Amino acid sequence: MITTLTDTTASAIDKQMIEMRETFGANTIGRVLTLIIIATGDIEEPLEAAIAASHEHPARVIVVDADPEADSSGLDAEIRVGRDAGAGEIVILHARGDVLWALDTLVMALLLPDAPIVTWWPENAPGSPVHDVLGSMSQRRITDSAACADPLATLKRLRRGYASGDSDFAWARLTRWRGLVASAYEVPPISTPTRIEVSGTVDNPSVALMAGWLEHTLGVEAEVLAPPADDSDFAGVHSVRLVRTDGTIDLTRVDDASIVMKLPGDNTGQHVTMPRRTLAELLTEELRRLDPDEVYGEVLATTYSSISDAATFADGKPEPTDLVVSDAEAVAAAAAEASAQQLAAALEERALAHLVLTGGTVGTKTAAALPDALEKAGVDVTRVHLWWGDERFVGPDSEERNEVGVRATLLEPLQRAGMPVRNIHVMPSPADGMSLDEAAAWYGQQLDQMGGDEPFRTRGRAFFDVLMLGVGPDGHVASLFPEHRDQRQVGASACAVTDSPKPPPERISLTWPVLNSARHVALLVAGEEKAGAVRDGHEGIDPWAVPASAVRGLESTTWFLDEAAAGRSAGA
Amino acid sequence: MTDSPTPLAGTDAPNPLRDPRDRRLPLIAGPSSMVMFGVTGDLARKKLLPAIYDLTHRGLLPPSFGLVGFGRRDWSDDDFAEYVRKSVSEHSRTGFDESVFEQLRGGLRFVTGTFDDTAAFEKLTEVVGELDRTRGTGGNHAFYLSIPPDAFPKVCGQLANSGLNTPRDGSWRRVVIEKPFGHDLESARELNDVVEKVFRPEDVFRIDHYLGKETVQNILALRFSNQLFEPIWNANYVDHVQITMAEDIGIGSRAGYYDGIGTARDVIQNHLLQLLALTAMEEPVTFRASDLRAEKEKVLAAVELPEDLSAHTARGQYVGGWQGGEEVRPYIEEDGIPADSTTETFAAMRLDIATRRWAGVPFYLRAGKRLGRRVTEIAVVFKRAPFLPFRSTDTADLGQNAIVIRVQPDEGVTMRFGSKVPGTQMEVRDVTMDFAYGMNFTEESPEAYERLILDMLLGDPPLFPRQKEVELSWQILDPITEHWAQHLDPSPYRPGTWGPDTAHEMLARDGRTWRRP
Repeated sequence: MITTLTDTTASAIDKQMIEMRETFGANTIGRVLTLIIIATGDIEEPLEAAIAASHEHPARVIVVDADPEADSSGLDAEIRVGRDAGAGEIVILHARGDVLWALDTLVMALLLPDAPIVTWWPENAPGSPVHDVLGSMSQRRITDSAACADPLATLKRLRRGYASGDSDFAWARLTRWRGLVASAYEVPPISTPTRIEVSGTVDNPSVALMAGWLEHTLGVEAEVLAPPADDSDFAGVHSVRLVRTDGTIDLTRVDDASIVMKLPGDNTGQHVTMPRRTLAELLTEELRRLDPDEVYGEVLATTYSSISDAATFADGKPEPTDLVVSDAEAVAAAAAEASAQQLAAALEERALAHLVLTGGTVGTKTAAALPDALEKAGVDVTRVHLWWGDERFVGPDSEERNEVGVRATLLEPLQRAGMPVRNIHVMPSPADGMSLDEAAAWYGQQLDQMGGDEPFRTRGRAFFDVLMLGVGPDGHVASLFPEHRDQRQVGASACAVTDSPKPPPERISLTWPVLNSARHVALLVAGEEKAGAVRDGHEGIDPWAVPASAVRGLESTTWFLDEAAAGRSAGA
Repeated sequence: MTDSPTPLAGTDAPNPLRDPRDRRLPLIAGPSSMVMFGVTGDLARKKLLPAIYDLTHRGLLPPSFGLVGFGRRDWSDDDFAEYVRKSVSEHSRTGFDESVFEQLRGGLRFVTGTFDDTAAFEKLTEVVGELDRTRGTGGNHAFYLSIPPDAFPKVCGQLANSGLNTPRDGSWRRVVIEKPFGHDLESARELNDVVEKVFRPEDVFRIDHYLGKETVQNILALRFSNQLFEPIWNANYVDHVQITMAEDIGIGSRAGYYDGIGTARDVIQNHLLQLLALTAMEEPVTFRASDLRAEKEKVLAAVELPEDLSAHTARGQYVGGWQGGEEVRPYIEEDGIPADSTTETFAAMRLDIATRRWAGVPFYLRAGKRLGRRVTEIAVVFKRAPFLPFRSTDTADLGQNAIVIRVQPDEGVTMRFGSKVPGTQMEVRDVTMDFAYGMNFTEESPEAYERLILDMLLGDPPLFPRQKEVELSWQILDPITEHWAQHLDPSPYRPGTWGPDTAHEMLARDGRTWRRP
């Protein structure tokens, strides 16, 4: 049976479910887990798979059908039990607008007590599942990189953000393949292959994982080949060949239902029925064990062992240019004017524009110059979103906060000009009732949510239009400090920084992949004491030693410098 | 029993592709074939062939798998394939798929012959060799004897003569036999001698499909993976244990086998004593076959019979009458049963276990045909709380706490305990808390034969009883059946009830009653 609740709350849904249980005797007792499905598109297909899987793993299924861009905010729910829910029970949450700002509290009341939580993203995988607010409370996090816009890039990103408990359907799709390869390997006389070839669609994540698995377990490099040309519309793994001294083990998919296996000394081959796996089969397999799949983690690490360097985020983008003016005031004016024009241009192409603010002396001056500059450039501020590159994790009204420094000069004027409060994405403070880690995860979640499937996932896609950064005398940007361990967090969108070399010690900062997803980057620097950092920042990309060198815009990166910072003060 | 991969057959080299932590990776049987004797029988048609097909469908048999039927019919390989197709399409669990069947079909062979026919066994040797060459079954062959035990000597002798029982280097030959493993200690030993003369003891797989059932394995999980039950699993807290295996049907078409054998030999010797062993045994050191067996053997060896067998056992035979809306015949009028038969269709007995854990805790076993309903369960009944701070009227409804493990149908666990009746001042009554595997895990759980056949092909023995256990069970049962033959005729009981009055009197003597399952 199906019950619908409109304009409701999580606790009302919980109450309704208890009532339904008492009335109809549908019981929660036998449920073994809570499955949260984060749907962005069609919800029926994943739901069907969940219902099928519920026969083996009776679950409470919570479907979050998110619409962050809805005009109004609110929550509707649909509860399905009995015949309409297989062996489980289903809650569909249609969440609109600001309700999504606290996604965790939305599902909190509906989780089964004590039972494990599994979160599944049937399509848009988050930046890093474990840093997602729902992912962080789950034992298992399931993504499907093959269903994302750019599967390989998604898999790479998942690798960066990997945490124990993650898994991906690209891996589960390989299970029967792997079983067959493992048993073919056992054909005596066993010897380590001299050569391994995996062929399949080049951008298919399962192909990459298959090669990674064989490389990882056998210690022999696996060559990835494209499938034969006559099979161009082929998807997934096409064949696996293990070349041994006594002959070749060859497994080749011949159609959607079967593969042919050839062992050494057998040229005709044997037919093996191996249909492609359905979503329900994949989900059922995933739910069978709720402990981390360590082998997947290791294979994933092998598969992309070369991409952990944070420099890759900045690499391959236009070289920075310098704009040198007389003093700090002039830097602020020039930067404000340039940014206003870039935002105006952005709004001509897109519905929304995103601006990232910074703190510091020049940053604050630039912010103060912005209201006039925006007006002059004709920017519709109701369509601009404001973000911060970093923030000190101190009381909400502390003078140390970057946000407090621009409240009177920027935020209040813009609000008077019509900017809605919800466009101003202030980083949380301890007064918001979150720990530092939670606050960073929450901010990252806000970014992920606003960005849909596009940003941060992959190097090379833009989300912000203008990103302003101050540069410290030590070369730090945002709160990513030279040779500081916390700058290594590239999996999340925002990270917690502790032990900052510059007080206060606790901060929240955007991370490398996020800082590197802006169209235009403006580095705002004034003062002689920063000349060294500016010089080092021009010396090639080195995130670990000189953070200022490692943030670049997709379209432009500009150093706005005064003469002192540019090293020209002594009449040079 | 564990999911950990076994080392490769015939070699000690571990497969680097099999990481013990990689629990998704299916364990597929290595290259092999199975030769089936009695392939036209009911069991083969309804259970074994479908199980092989289902294993293929699940991708757990090697692509090269061969299946050779041996029988009297004058069949070609194609006739046999048609027979298999029919059996599979009617009885498979996972649904018939033409392409799966095609994969299996390539390895189907049939050899016509009788068990006396030496030429037929020579033909069989050739066919098996041909499978090795053309399919790559690697010299690994299992012989499934789905035939009456009296044919074992002939078949085993023929297998030995033709050399089929002897593996070449690195390959294996295994034999699978079904219960009954004899009808008393002596016959069990004779039977075993016949088989073990031809095959090594570790290559003999005794299939008791009861032990392939998920729930039987769940007993081990329940007992040994929890902290909750083990502390009270002993004579300090347990009053007694009842193990019941009841069927609501009569003997059906099994007259030829059943008469003269009876319920005690048919199911108590194997199923019920195995359940008793699993319930009562100490914790095995590991779940490896040898450790598990050691504990089962220990507890079976510690079983003691009551001194007065007439007072502490019961024997019954169903009479005719109406059972649940259907008129049924008495046992002695079933087809093929002599009118003066004294074979029992109901058996009950008290067994004690002479260990510190179980001293003074009787285990009551009962089994029968035409009982109240079809059910197999183990009920662990606890002692009453030594002191109740309630008025006696408050707890008038309170019985003994119990943990009931239901083996079939509707597999699960029930706990019974006292709870306050809502709304009253203070009244305590029994409530039951139920956990059903049916709701939780079983929908996809494989048929017992699938599990056993796969384990046998993988050479993974924990679920198979060994000869020692079989002999120990007969040692327990033989004195009882001998006593019955001399001194105790079966008492009549109405079909659809819970056995004869003597069974109820037997428990009444101990101040207890049978649980109504």
